[in-house]
Amino acid sequence: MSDPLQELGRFAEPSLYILVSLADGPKHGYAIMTDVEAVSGRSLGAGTLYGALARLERRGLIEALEPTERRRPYRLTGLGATTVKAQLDHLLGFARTGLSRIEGGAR
Amino acid sequence: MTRLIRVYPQRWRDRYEAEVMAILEVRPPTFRDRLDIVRGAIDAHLHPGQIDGGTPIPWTNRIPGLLALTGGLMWAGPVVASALLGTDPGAQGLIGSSVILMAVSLSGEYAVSYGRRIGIVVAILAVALLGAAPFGWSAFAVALLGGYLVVGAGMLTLAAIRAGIGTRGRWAIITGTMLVPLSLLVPIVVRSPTQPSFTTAVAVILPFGLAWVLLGARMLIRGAPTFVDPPDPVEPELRTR
Repeated sequence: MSDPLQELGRFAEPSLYILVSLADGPKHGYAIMTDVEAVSGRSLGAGTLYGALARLERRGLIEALEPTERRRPYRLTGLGATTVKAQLDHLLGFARTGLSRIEGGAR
Repeated sequence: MTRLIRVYPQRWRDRYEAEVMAILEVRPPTFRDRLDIVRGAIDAHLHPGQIDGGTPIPWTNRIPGLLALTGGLMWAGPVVASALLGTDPGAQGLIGSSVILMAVSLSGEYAVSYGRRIGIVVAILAVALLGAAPFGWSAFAVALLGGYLVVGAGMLTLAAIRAGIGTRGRWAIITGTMLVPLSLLVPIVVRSPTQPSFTTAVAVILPFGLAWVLLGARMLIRGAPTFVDPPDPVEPELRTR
């Protein structure tokens, strides 16, 4: 099965941050930016944020809700939740392997 | 801030402009943010299919822009190198080849559709140039500059049409890159009928190459149909203007 995030090229990493940010509920653009910055320490510019949101929406990983004033919230779809979980599981396995090797090498 | 968003395609703006403006109002963009927005705009032009309802541009539609851009660089590069070195680096072949690339970037269909209008424009320019003959121009110089004007202005007009530039913009391009530099040459030649200096020659022909770089970049980003692509549905409307 193809990895839907890796297909996104330079938007793959920002997309993962966005999916993680939306994992605890819908957020609008500015809330996603501040949340991503708080959680990952990475700053997302508006150009990157909306380039990634457009791609995620097109692939059915997130969906746009009705806007409140000019702010439109986005939420994870079922496919988005499955995708982000698979990505995080993969990263967790990768991190565990890396850490165990480092600890093994330090002995 | 609105100016920043204007560089995005209309379809993107219809969908996301209000949201982005709301963000930029509460978080004024830094220089890095501005660069990110410009980068995002280039991406939106290159990948319109990523935006809901957008149609992807076939890769073949990037060919004319790539050819025009390369042609412009091949023209402007040796000219700039000559100016910097103060001598002729012997790159006339490169400049000659650039004209072929520029010509190939224009499809036959466009030349046919706009041939009459372009013919009128270049005829006016040619007559104007011939009017310069009494000022002491040699027949060779008139023929050379006439050819440059007629062929160059015609090709630039076609390239501007392909890049989606309106009538006023096309005139501005031809005026700024060909007529103004050439008209600046006239008093120099009148004062001293000998061959213009090297620097003058560079100043006169460089803008032509730069115009191709800009038009080529625009064609590359927006896409310009090649003669092998199906007809653009917007085209008949454009032709009636």
